[in-house]
Amino acid sequence: MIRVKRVFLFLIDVYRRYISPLKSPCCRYIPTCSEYAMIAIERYGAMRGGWLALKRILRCHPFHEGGYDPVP
Amino acid sequence: MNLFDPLVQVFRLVFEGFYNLTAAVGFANYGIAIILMTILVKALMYPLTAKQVRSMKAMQELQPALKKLQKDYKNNPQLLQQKMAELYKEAGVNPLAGCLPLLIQMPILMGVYYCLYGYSYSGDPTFLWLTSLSDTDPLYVLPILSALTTYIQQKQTMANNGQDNQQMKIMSYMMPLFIGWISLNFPSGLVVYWVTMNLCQIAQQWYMFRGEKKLAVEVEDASASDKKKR
Repeated sequence: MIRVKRVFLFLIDVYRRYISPLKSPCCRYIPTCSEYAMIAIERYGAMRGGWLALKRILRCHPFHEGGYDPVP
Repeated sequence: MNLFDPLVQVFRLVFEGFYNLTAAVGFANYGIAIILMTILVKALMYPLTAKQVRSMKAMQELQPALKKLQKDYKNNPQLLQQKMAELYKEAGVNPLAGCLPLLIQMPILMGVYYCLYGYSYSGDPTFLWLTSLSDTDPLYVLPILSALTTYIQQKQTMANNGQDNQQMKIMSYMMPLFIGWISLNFPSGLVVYWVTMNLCQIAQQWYMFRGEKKLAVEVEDASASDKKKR
């Protein structure tokens, strides 16, 4: 059985390899949103890790200060 | 039923509204309605980018502190990044726009795409040299424009990031060619939207990055004079 966690990690990997280089760097945070998502999903699984990643992406806009923000 | 349907309905209403506006002014034209709608979409996203312009100005004031950090941590890029992030946070500025503004553009793009792709024009569908906004461009001018504007728009951001590797260079040609190629088969109305979007973006980026280019030169000058001292 394919685990959702693996699928998520695979999709993020595809994004990081082939889609992200096409656009200019934009993430306000360290680690970047995609890096954060990978760590979070690896550590907490698809559900909770995915939720953390989603919250992070929603924080990543010009009205939030950004900066160093590691996975809890 | 499509996921973007509610958004498509909204765009359809806005599009028809703009068409009625052009009709009220005296020259009913769907092409102008598309351009007006594009400008409205871009204007709605303006608050996100205006904030960036302000933060870029503040970045100029941070330059001396940044240069000091770059000197102190030049052997540890990871720590340097972290220290720079802390400095940005303290000063309340950040040179990057974040992931969300890009992601917001996706559903908007899809909404406009579905709105214009299958649109059945009830009035005169001609625009400039185009015989119909729902057909492809018979003169291939629009596909060329879409490729060209995509290229220029990409080039602007790349020049500012100082990225110069081979992969990026190949990509900077691949993407415009790909856009031009798909434009060959798209209804002209959609390509008019795409070209207008690119032109707005180019104007906006030119305005936003005006100061930053000067800044990059200053930093280079400073590091050059540093080397001379040694």
